[in-house]
Amino acid sequence: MDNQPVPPLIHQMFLTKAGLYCSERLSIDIVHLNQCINLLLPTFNEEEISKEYEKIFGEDSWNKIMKYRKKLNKKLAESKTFYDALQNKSLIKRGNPKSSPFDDSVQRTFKKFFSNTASKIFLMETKIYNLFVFLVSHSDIQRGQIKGEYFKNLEQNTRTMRLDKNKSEGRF
Amino acid sequence: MKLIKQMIEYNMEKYNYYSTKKYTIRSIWKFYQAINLCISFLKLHGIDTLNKKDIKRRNKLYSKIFLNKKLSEQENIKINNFINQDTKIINQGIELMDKIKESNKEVLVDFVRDDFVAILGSEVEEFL
Repeated sequence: MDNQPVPPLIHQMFLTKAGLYCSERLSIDIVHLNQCINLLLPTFNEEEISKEYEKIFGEDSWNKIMKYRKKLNKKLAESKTFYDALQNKSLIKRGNPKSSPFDDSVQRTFKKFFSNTASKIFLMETKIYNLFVFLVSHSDIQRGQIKGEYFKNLEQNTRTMRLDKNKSEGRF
Repeated sequence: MKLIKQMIEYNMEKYNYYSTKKYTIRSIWKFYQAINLCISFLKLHGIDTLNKKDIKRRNKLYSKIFLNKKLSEQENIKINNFINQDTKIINQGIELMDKIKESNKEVLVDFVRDDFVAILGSEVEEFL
Protein backbone atom coordinates (compact mmCIF):
# COMPACT_ATOMS: atom_id res chain seq x y z
CA MET A 1 0.00 0.00 0.00
CA ASP A 2 1.38 3.43 -0.97
CA ASN A 3 1.64 6.31 1.43
CA GLN A 4 -1.73 8.00 1.74
CA PRO A 5 -1.57 11.75 0.95
CA VAL A 6 -2.96 13.93 3.73
CA PRO A 7 -4.64 17.33 3.06
CA PRO A 8 -2.49 20.30 4.21
CA LEU A 9 -5.00 21.52 6.83
CA ILE A 10 -5.20 18.12 8.52
CA HIS A 11 -1.41 17.85 8.21
CA GLN A 12 -0.97 21.06 10.20
CA MET A 13 -3.63 20.19 12.77
CA PHE A 14 -2.09 16.75 13.26
CA LEU A 15 1.36 18.20 13.90
CA THR A 16 0.04 20.70 16.47
CA LYS A 17 -1.78 17.91 18.30
CA ALA A 18 1.33 15.71 18.22
CA GLY A 19 3.36 18.61 19.63
CA LEU A 20 0.82 19.07 22.40
CA TYR A 21 0.98 15.36 23.16
CA CYS A 22 4.76 15.54 23.59
CA SER A 23 4.83 18.72 25.67
CA GLU A 24 1.99 17.74 27.99
CA ARG A 25 3.24 16.91 31.46
CA LEU A 26 1.49 14.86 34.10
CA SER A 27 -2.01 14.93 32.70
CA ILE A 28 -4.08 12.96 30.20
CA ASP A 29 -1.83 13.24 27.17
CA ILE A 30 -3.67 10.35 25.53
CA VAL A 31 -6.49 12.80 24.70
CA HIS A 32 -4.22 14.51 22.17
CA LEU A 33 -3.04 11.17 20.78
CA ASN A 34 -6.65 10.09 20.32
CA GLN A 35 -7.44 13.36 18.53
CA CYS A 36 -4.49 12.70 16.19
CA ILE A 37 -5.98 9.31 15.30
CA ASN A 38 -9.44 10.85 14.82
CA LEU A 39 -7.96 13.37 12.39
CA LEU A 40 -5.98 10.84 10.39
CA LEU A 41 -8.47 7.94 10.12
CA PRO A 42 -11.02 9.55 7.74
CA THR A 43 -8.31 10.25 5.14
CA PHE A 44 -7.88 6.48 4.53
CA ASN A 45 -10.05 4.10 2.57
CA GLU A 46 -11.35 1.82 5.31
CA GLU A 47 -11.36 -1.42 3.28
CA GLU A 48 -7.74 -1.05 2.19
CA ILE A 49 -6.44 0.02 5.56
CA SER A 50 -8.30 -2.76 7.41
CA LYS A 51 -6.75 -5.41 5.12
CA GLU A 52 -3.29 -3.95 5.66
CA TYR A 53 -3.80 -3.81 9.44
CA GLU A 54 -5.00 -7.42 9.59
CA LYS A 55 -1.90 -8.57 7.68
CA ILE A 56 0.31 -7.29 10.51
CA PHE A 57 -1.76 -7.70 13.67
CA GLY A 58 -3.76 -10.84 12.81
CA GLU A 59 -7.29 -11.66 11.72
CA ASP A 60 -10.26 -9.63 12.94
CA SER A 61 -7.90 -7.23 14.69
CA TRP A 62 -9.37 -4.20 12.85
CA ASN A 63 -12.88 -4.78 14.23
CA LYS A 64 -11.43 -5.32 17.69
CA ILE A 65 -9.45 -2.08 17.62
CA MET A 66 -12.48 -0.10 16.40
CA LYS A 67 -14.59 -1.39 19.30
CA TYR A 68 -11.69 -0.61 21.57
CA ARG A 69 -11.53 2.96 20.27
CA LYS A 70 -15.19 3.51 21.04
CA LYS A 71 -14.64 2.35 24.62
CA LEU A 72 -11.58 4.55 24.99
CA ASN A 73 -13.41 7.59 23.63
CA LYS A 74 -16.11 7.12 26.28
CA LYS A 75 -13.58 6.70 29.07
CA LEU A 76 -11.60 9.72 27.91
CA ALA A 77 -14.69 11.93 27.78
CA GLU A 78 -15.56 10.92 31.35
CA SER A 79 -12.09 11.42 32.76
CA LYS A 80 -11.54 14.70 30.90
CA THR A 81 -14.59 16.27 32.55
CA PHE A 82 -13.27 15.41 36.01
CA TYR A 83 -9.76 16.46 35.05
CA ASP A 84 -10.97 19.89 33.88
CA ALA A 85 -12.89 20.29 37.13
CA LEU A 86 -9.75 19.46 39.11
CA GLN A 87 -7.79 22.08 37.17
CA ASN A 88 -10.45 24.75 37.72
CA LYS A 89 -9.10 26.76 40.63
CA SER A 90 -12.24 28.83 41.15
CA LEU A 91 -13.92 25.73 42.59
CA ILE A 92 -11.32 25.46 45.34
CA LYS A 93 -11.99 28.92 46.71
CA ARG A 94 -15.75 28.46 46.67
CA GLY A 95 -15.69 25.45 49.03
CA ASN A 96 -13.64 26.44 52.02
CA PRO A 97 -11.05 29.22 51.55
CA LYS A 98 -9.15 28.58 54.80
CA SER A 99 -8.46 24.89 54.26
CA SER A 100 -5.82 23.59 51.81
CA PRO A 101 -7.11 22.74 48.32
CA PHE A 102 -6.76 18.99 48.75
CA ASP A 103 -8.92 18.91 51.90
CA ASP A 104 -11.84 20.41 50.04
CA SER A 105 -14.73 17.96 49.77
CA VAL A 106 -15.60 18.98 46.18
CA GLN A 107 -12.02 18.44 45.06
CA ARG A 108 -11.86 15.12 46.85
CA THR A 109 -14.92 13.78 45.07
CA PHE A 110 -13.61 14.96 41.69
CA LYS A 111 -10.26 13.33 42.39
CA LYS A 112 -11.93 10.08 43.37
CA PHE A 113 -14.00 9.92 40.17
CA PHE A 114 -11.00 10.94 38.08
CA SER A 115 -8.74 8.22 39.49
CA ASN A 116 -11.49 5.63 38.97
CA THR A 117 -11.90 6.45 35.28
CA ALA A 118 -8.28 7.28 34.43
CA SER A 119 -6.82 4.11 35.97
CA LYS A 120 -8.62 2.02 33.31
CA ILE A 121 -7.26 4.17 30.48
CA PHE A 122 -3.65 3.32 31.32
CA LEU A 123 -4.32 -0.36 30.75
CA MET A 124 -5.90 0.35 27.35
CA GLU A 125 -3.15 2.55 25.94
CA THR A 126 -0.78 0.09 24.26
CA LYS A 127 -3.18 -0.93 21.48
CA ILE A 128 -3.96 2.70 20.69
CA TYR A 129 -0.24 3.36 20.30
CA ASN A 130 -0.10 0.48 17.80
CA LEU A 131 -2.88 2.09 15.75
CA PHE A 132 -1.23 5.52 15.92
CA VAL A 133 2.16 4.27 14.68
CA PHE A 134 0.49 2.16 11.98
CA LEU A 135 -1.52 5.10 10.60
CA VAL A 136 1.46 7.45 10.64
CA SER A 137 3.70 4.93 8.87
CA HIS A 138 1.10 4.41 6.11
CA SER A 139 0.49 8.09 5.43
CA ASP A 140 2.39 11.01 3.96
CA ILE A 141 2.66 12.60 7.39
CA GLN A 142 5.56 10.35 8.44
CA ARG A 143 7.97 12.71 6.66
CA GLY A 144 6.58 15.75 8.48
CA GLN A 145 8.33 17.39 11.37
CA ILE A 146 6.84 19.02 14.45
CA LYS A 147 7.88 22.65 14.69
CA GLY A 148 9.37 24.04 17.88
CA GLU A 149 6.39 26.38 18.32
CA TYR A 150 4.01 23.46 18.71
CA PHE A 151 6.18 21.84 21.38
CA LYS A 152 6.22 24.97 23.47
CA ASN A 153 2.50 25.74 23.32
CA LEU A 154 1.79 24.55 26.83
CA GLU A 155 5.11 25.57 28.30
CA GLN A 156 4.60 29.16 27.15
CA ASN A 157 1.13 29.25 28.68
CA THR A 158 2.36 28.07 32.07
CA ARG A 159 5.19 30.60 31.93
CA THR A 160 2.86 33.52 31.25
CA MET A 161 0.63 32.39 34.11
CA ARG A 162 3.60 32.39 36.45
CA LEU A 163 4.63 35.85 35.31
CA ASP A 164 1.13 37.21 35.95
CA LYS A 165 1.18 35.71 39.44
CA ASN A 166 4.52 37.34 40.19
CA LYS A 167 3.24 40.69 38.92
CA SER A 168 0.25 40.56 41.23
CA GLU A 169 2.56 39.84 44.16
CA GLY A 170 4.63 42.89 43.23
CA ARG A 171 7.92 41.18 42.48
CA PHE A 172 8.43 42.99 39.17
CA MET B 1 9.54 7.51 10.26
CA LYS B 2 10.94 10.99 10.71
CA LEU B 3 7.96 12.09 12.81
CA ILE B 4 7.94 9.15 15.21
CA LYS B 5 11.70 9.35 15.62
CA GLN B 6 11.40 13.03 16.46
CA MET B 7 8.69 12.32 19.04
CA ILE B 8 10.77 9.58 20.70
CA GLU B 9 13.92 11.70 20.74
CA TYR B 10 12.06 14.71 22.19
CA ASN B 11 10.58 12.57 24.96
CA MET B 12 13.97 11.08 25.78
CA GLU B 13 15.56 14.53 25.87
CA LYS B 14 12.89 15.69 28.32
CA TYR B 15 13.36 12.51 30.35
CA ASN B 16 17.04 13.28 30.63
CA TYR B 17 16.38 16.94 31.52
CA TYR B 18 13.80 16.15 34.23
CA SER B 19 15.87 13.35 35.74
CA THR B 20 18.86 15.68 36.13
CA LYS B 21 16.59 18.28 37.76
CA LYS B 22 15.21 15.53 40.06
CA TYR B 23 11.60 15.79 38.87
CA THR B 24 11.35 12.01 39.08
CA ILE B 25 7.66 11.53 38.25
CA ARG B 26 7.80 13.87 35.26
CA SER B 27 10.87 12.05 33.96
CA ILE B 28 9.13 8.68 34.36
CA TRP B 29 6.14 10.08 32.44
CA LYS B 30 8.33 11.08 29.50
CA PHE B 31 10.03 7.71 29.49
CA TYR B 32 6.64 5.99 29.49
CA GLN B 33 5.61 7.90 26.35
CA ALA B 34 8.87 7.07 24.56
CA ILE B 35 8.79 3.37 25.42
CA ASN B 36 5.18 2.97 24.27
CA LEU B 37 5.99 4.53 20.89
CA CYS B 38 9.09 2.35 20.53
CA ILE B 39 7.32 -0.90 21.39
CA SER B 40 4.54 -0.28 18.87
CA PHE B 41 7.06 0.76 16.19
CA LEU B 42 9.05 -2.45 16.67
CA LYS B 43 5.86 -4.50 16.65
CA LEU B 44 4.90 -2.95 13.32
CA HIS B 45 8.16 -4.27 11.88
CA GLY B 46 7.65 -7.77 13.27
CA ILE B 47 9.85 -7.54 16.38
CA ASP B 48 8.16 -8.60 19.62
CA THR B 49 9.87 -7.03 22.61
CA LEU B 50 7.62 -7.57 25.63
CA ASN B 51 4.95 -10.14 26.55
CA LYS B 52 1.38 -9.13 27.32
CA LYS B 53 2.02 -9.94 30.98
CA ASP B 54 5.07 -7.70 31.14
CA ILE B 55 3.19 -4.82 29.52
CA LYS B 56 0.28 -5.22 31.95
CA ARG B 57 2.61 -5.30 34.94
CA ARG B 58 4.34 -2.13 33.78
CA ASN B 59 1.13 -0.28 32.96
CA LYS B 60 -0.32 -1.06 36.40
CA LEU B 61 2.76 0.34 38.11
CA TYR B 62 2.83 3.43 35.90
CA SER B 63 -0.87 4.12 36.49
CA LYS B 64 -0.35 3.85 40.27
CA ILE B 65 2.51 6.33 40.21
CA PHE B 66 0.89 8.85 37.88
CA LEU B 67 -2.47 8.91 39.61
CA ASN B 68 -1.09 9.18 43.14
CA LYS B 69 1.79 11.46 42.07
CA LYS B 70 3.90 9.77 44.73
CA LEU B 71 6.72 7.24 44.70
CA SER B 72 7.25 4.73 47.48
CA GLU B 73 10.63 3.01 47.93
CA GLN B 74 9.45 -0.30 46.49
CA GLU B 75 7.89 1.40 43.48
CA ASN B 76 11.09 3.36 42.93
CA ILE B 77 13.18 0.18 42.88
CA LYS B 78 10.76 -1.56 40.51
CA ILE B 79 10.52 1.38 38.13
CA ASN B 80 14.30 1.80 38.01
CA ASN B 81 14.59 -1.89 37.12
CA PHE B 82 12.06 -1.48 34.31
CA ILE B 83 13.79 1.64 32.99
CA ASN B 84 17.16 -0.13 32.90
CA GLN B 85 15.65 -2.99 30.90
CA ASP B 86 13.63 -0.79 28.58
CA THR B 87 16.44 1.52 27.49
CA LYS B 88 17.64 -1.45 25.39
CA ILE B 89 14.29 -1.45 23.56
CA ILE B 90 14.56 2.28 22.84
CA ASN B 91 18.09 1.80 21.47
CA GLN B 92 16.84 -1.05 19.31
CA GLY B 93 13.98 1.09 17.96
CA ILE B 94 16.21 4.06 17.09
CA GLU B 95 18.76 1.77 15.39
CA LEU B 96 16.00 0.25 13.26
CA MET B 97 14.76 3.71 12.28
CA ASP B 98 18.26 4.69 11.17
CA LYS B 99 18.55 1.48 9.12
CA ILE B 100 15.23 2.17 7.39
CA LYS B 101 16.31 5.73 6.67
CA GLU B 102 19.56 4.54 5.08
CA SER B 103 17.81 1.92 2.95
CA ASN B 104 15.21 4.40 1.65
CA LYS B 105 17.40 6.96 -0.04
CA GLU B 106 14.85 9.72 -0.46
CA VAL B 107 15.42 13.13 -1.97
CA LEU B 108 14.67 15.71 0.71
CA VAL B 109 12.06 17.98 -0.81
CA ASP B 110 9.72 20.30 0.99
CA PHE B 111 6.58 21.69 -0.66
CA VAL B 112 6.48 25.35 0.33
CA ARG B 113 3.50 26.36 -1.81
CA ASP B 114 1.50 24.65 -4.52
CA ASP B 115 3.85 25.61 -7.37
CA PHE B 116 7.13 26.07 -5.48
CA VAL B 117 9.50 23.35 -4.38
CA ALA B 118 12.46 23.85 -2.05
CA ILE B 119 15.24 21.25 -2.13
CA LEU B 120 17.09 20.78 1.14
CA GLY B 121 20.59 19.45 1.71
CA SER B 122 24.12 19.93 0.38
CA GLU B 123 23.26 18.72 -3.11
CA VAL B 124 21.76 22.09 -4.00
CA GLU B 125 25.13 23.39 -5.27
CA GLU B 126 25.46 20.53 -7.74
CA PHE B 127 22.02 21.28 -9.15
CA LEU B 128 22.93 24.93 -9.66
